[in-house]
Amino acid sequence: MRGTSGPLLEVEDLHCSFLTPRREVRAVDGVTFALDPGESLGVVGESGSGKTVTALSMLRLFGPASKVRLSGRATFEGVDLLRASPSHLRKVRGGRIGVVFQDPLTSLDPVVPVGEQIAEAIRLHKDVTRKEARRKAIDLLERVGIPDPGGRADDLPHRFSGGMRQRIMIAMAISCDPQLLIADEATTALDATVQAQILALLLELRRDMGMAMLVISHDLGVVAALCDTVQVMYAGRLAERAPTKPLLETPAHPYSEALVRLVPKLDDRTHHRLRPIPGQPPVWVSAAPGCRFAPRCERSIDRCDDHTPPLTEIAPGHTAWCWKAETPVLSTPMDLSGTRGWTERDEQEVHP
Amino acid sequence: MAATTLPPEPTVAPDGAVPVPRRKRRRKRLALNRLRDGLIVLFLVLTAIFLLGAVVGDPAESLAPPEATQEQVDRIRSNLGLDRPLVAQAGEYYSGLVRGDLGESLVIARNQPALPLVVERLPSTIRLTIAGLLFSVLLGVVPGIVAGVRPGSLVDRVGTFLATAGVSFPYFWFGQILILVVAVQLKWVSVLPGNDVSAYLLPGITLGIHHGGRLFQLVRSATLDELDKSYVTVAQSKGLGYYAVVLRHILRNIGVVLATMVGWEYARMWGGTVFLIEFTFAWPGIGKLVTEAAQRHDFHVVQAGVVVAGIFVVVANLVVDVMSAAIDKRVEVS
Amino acid sequence: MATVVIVDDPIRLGHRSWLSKVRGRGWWGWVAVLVLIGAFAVAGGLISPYDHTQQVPREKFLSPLESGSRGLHVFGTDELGRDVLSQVIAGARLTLFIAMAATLIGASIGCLLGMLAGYLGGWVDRVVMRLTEAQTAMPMFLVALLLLSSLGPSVWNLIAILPTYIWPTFARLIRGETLRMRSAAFVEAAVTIGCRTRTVLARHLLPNLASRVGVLLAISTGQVILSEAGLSFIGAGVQDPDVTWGLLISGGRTYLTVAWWPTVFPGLFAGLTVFALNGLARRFTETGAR
Repeated sequence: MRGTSGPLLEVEDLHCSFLTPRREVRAVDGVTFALDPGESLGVVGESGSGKTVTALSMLRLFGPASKVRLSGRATFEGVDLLRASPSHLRKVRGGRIGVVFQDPLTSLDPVVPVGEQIAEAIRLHKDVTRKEARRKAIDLLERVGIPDPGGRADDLPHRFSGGMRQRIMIAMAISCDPQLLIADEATTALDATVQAQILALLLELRRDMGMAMLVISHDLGVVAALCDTVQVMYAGRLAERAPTKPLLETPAHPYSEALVRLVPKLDDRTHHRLRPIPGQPPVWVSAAPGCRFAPRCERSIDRCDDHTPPLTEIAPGHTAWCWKAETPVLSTPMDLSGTRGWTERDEQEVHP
Repeated sequence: MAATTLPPEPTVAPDGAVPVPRRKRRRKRLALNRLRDGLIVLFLVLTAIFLLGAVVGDPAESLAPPEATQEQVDRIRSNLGLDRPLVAQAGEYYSGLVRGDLGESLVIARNQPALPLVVERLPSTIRLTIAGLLFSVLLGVVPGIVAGVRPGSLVDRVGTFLATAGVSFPYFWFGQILILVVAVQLKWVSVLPGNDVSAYLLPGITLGIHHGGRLFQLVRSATLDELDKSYVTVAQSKGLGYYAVVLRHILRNIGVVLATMVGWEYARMWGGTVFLIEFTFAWPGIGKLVTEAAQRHDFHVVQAGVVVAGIFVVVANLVVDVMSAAIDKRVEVS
Repeated sequence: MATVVIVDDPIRLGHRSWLSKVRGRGWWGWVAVLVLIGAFAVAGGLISPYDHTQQVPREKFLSPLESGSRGLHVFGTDELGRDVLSQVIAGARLTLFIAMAATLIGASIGCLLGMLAGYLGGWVDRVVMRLTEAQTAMPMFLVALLLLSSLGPSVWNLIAILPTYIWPTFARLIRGETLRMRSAAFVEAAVTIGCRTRTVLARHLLPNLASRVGVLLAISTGQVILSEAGLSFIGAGVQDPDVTWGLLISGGRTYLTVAWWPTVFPGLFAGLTVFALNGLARRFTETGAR
């Protein structure tokens, strides 16, 4: 970790709920964490666990028709973004924080040439002429590995493959040298090989630009490849937070343990079966006390049902919100070396 | 290493050599297909008008005085060529269409060709439809976008209510009320049709209330659909303000759709509303002529009116289709 | 623009959103309007204050709420001293009868053709689709004029002509849904386990379509009411002594500068009916989408 003067981002007790005509749906329910400059933090959890909403809440990025209630704090570079003025927020979005979204097929405006879409972001945050912005956009396209960037800058998005579009999205997100890059399921919609290329690109960019990253994924492999720290979310709350290696090798929370156990391993000699987590995550959650995971948890005790588990420190930097979290629970730790090696090999092929 | 060399000076960047002509050809083919479809529809419409006329259009009975004998009626019928086989009549109809001959007026302007009577009134009707279109766009498109962009807002709720009222209440009735309030009570504008611009005001607004209401509904839902697309969120994540996203991205995306909708509404005017408005406002156009002709059973004049209106409906739709095929960049994708 | 509320206290338990209280109740108003007008149509004679044909020449153009020898005239009287409210109530019956009959006929034709096109495909589909396009491109108002001036204006001729306004919409909806259904996973699954395509479609298509056809029926009924009113307004539709709202508007037209009420009230009722139908249709489309 780099020498820092305090964290880049501090999220405190973040709550976020969506108002629908019928009910109020809680998506994030009291999340607290911090992110240092240059740190890479992974957020994992099933879909609906609130990991994406956590990231979007910080930027107040919601669909235009949505009605949202937020509370808590999200302090980025000293300013609480939840209460920041719209103009400050616009400066932060794209300028200080870049976002790469999940679906590269629909994320780009279908009728605007890709070069222009990147140049638009540059011109919003930097005082440059149209021509300079375009030139910078072409540089960026080249940087993210688009062949013939000068010629293709004027093409519309549908003329690119999914992987190429995701590269363009990344170019857009890093166009103004952000301090923080949020990658929201950035590789989920891609083929495995393309996914590897995009991961390699993100790793390389992080190394070169020194920006912090918030990687949202349901894929532990992606997080293992990209992140220093991982936090696990379940039903709008944090379950566990730890440096990547201990989290994957010795998860303390039963939910993390289950997620780790669910990663199929080819070279596993023991041939134990994949054991799915019984039950479903709650669709909407009540504010009643108790552990959210208790109904699906193998280790739950009476206390779990009506007492919210406290934060328990298992090791320095390794915390879990569980009554039974004192001892690491996984018997067969996840092999990390494979994941790392795979990504690095791939990176070699893409950028010789 | 390629990554360190500067890209070529970004002049007008050459598109890839192969794909561009192919794309253009594809759009051209699509446009031609739509042209062909439109012409088929036009033919069908004209044929349908002929068949309807042949089946029900026996003006002889209604033309003959009530006390006429069967013999007299038959004579009128043979004078009109109605006693010949259907195929022969069809042949004459189509050759007449090509020559611009749709028979003669029997009542309104005795023995004058019917088509010129209708064509003579055409400019007047066209001017009214354009006035109507302007008001429709003014009342429908702009508020529709505003409402779609801010769903649930006051503009949206009031606009939706008014638009539903606009399409629900009989528009000729609105016309009557406008005449009563604005022209008779307040005496702001003249009710008499003339060349004065103010003459277009009331009929134009009446058309605008009806078609603008529908446009509002269509435009609003098209805008709303667009908001759900993720490029809107992405554009905001770049730092664009919401209204900048609307202006720079959403409008660009729905532009073609909007133009198509406006074109459809224009076609719908020729489908009937403008004629009823002419009748309401005593506007000297095709509608007034044809309603009079219909009341007096002047079959050929009505038929000529139907043919002209039908051509306008088809051509308006056709222009919209061909144009949107030619300019919509997204057509290539689908 | 997203509405974001920042609150300083965390969300309370079971808070019902303020939106739910405002939304989703208004449609009962539309039901009430339709029930009222339905009552006019069904039991007009019982509700109507006076005989709508009774002429009292001395009491012509009584303003709304003015009383004459017969008593109070809520909507006033027309140029022959007929009670406008009674006329409006009497007009409901024929207006709704024509509208519903024409809509049902048009819907039946449209559904049948749409199903044939979607199920048989091939040239049948192409022919039906071309027909719907041609029908949509017909200047129907003038075509109706042409037919009515030749056949003579009558209620039955109106009922014969008006369905042509609406059948293409039904045909397109049903065809599209049939096509969609044929390739739907559950239909393919049912066919795979040995059910006949026809049986599956009959059993699943119709129930699936019911709500959308219902919405379209409401919208189409409104459209037909307006079309009938337009034709009757220019004198090509219903003729005296029959009475519909369109004809009443037309009757008041000549005396508009003298008395507004014989024109305004029938139009108001026609508009309210269509408004209620459209409002209900919108409400059910939105619920369906949710």
